[in-house]
Amino acid sequence: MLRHVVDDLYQIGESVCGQDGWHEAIRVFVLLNDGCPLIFDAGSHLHRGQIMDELKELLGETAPGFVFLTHTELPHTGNLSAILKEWPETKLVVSSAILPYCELPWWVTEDQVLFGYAGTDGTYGGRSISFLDGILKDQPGTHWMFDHQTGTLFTADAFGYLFHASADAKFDDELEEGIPQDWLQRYHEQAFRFLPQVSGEKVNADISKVFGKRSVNVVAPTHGNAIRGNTDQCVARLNQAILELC
Amino acid sequence: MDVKIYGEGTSRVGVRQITPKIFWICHCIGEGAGDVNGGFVSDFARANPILDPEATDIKYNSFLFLDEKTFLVDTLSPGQHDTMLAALRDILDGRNLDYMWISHTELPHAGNTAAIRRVHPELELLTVGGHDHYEVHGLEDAKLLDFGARVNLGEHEIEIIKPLFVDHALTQWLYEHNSGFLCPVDWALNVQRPDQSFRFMDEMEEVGYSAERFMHEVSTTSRFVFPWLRWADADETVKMVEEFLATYDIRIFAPSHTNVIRKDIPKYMAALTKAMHMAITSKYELVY
Repeated sequence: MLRHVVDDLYQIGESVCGQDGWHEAIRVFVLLNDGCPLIFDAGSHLHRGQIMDELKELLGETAPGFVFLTHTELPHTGNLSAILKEWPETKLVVSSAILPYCELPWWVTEDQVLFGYAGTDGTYGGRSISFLDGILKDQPGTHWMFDHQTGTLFTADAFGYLFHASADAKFDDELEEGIPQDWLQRYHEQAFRFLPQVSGEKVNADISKVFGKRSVNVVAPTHGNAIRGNTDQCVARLNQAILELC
Repeated sequence: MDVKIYGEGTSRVGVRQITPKIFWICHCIGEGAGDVNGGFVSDFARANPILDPEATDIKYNSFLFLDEKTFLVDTLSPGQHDTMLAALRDILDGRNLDYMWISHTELPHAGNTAAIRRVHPELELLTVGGHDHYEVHGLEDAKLLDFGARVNLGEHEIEIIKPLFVDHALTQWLYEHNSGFLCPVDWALNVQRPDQSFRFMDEMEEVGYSAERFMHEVSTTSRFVFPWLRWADADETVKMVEEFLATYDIRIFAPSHTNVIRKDIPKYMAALTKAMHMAITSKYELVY
């Protein structure tokens, strides 16, 4: 479903329903960026039709300039073929820690791929995007990205959450009490199986460094809706969830 | 060295026989690896100056059991689509593929799943149970196995085991009881020079490799492969590794990105245990 988040940031993509009614979102975020749209993750192959319809509705006649991949697992790249078939001039921006020939579909050509290096900023269609290490991640070649204009932090799998159907279309500020810790905890328990083997205090300290370094207005997780209302509350709840899981 | 090679460069695959009924299907680039992998591998060398700067090639392994039933371990990546299918066709030599086991759903491990299923529609796709939302990962019709589940192939009996070190949530490891074959998936990644392709670890020693070098490489690569180790406790991790090694009688150590180790297993397991301690205690900073 297509939703406006803030400024020129939009969210599309669907969710899947699993055991006991818990839903997992697979989102795609779009910065319209004044004529050179930037797409963050390509969405799932399961939702190809809806994603492409919504992208065309949102972008109109304008082709996206770049697709930024947080990492290369199927939920994040499954719809890449449809996007690049529709807009073949669009470039991919991936972490410098991946090897495209092995980690991207075979038909992606070398000249379609640009690398983002952690600790650097890049300008894409006139827009500054910063790259940093994916702090909490499953796949090694995961990076987080930050859009300075909207203050949006794209966090890949981290900050994802499971939810009931009634929350599918709702941002945190549209839920009575924001995103409950339990929802965050359920997702992180599934996604990051290593958490019982590590120190929660150390994980939280690293997450805190990311937020201490920049002013984050929106957190954009692939497996949840954008968190735009109260990011501090969400970080605090994630911190608590991590302490429970570790 | 008896190796059959298919293709070249980024599609190249080599097949070696580990035992009469277990085959190693390995992708590595060989000549030109530095041009393709250079940026990635240079991160290892920057993190640990002791490492060989010319060791720029990375292995991606798949394994095939050719017993009364046939069983494939992982699929390599779409970049090796044609060569993987050709190698599989030659080894199977007209036989069905009965099982395909996906260690986890990253492309270098699972990227040819659909292609192999098109050629072998008879196969049963296996993955680990206890999760949710399998369709998101393209595993909606896979048979789900719990840790401890066994698959009998005839002479070989494969057990799905709980991994010590995970990245992806659906990661599982595999142990075969008759041969002592352990596939610990992403654990123990080492690198090699472009002219050292398709060698068993004992054959790497013939060109100057050693358990000590293996230890230094794995201590470094583990920081990248399992970045969460920075939050782990070194002594507890070593204890966990030691308990694991005491549980399984490993005679063939066959990870996804390592030379297959078929000799001197205790020497390499001791090096591996030390490497994990080093990976946790070595200082390295993230970019926040």
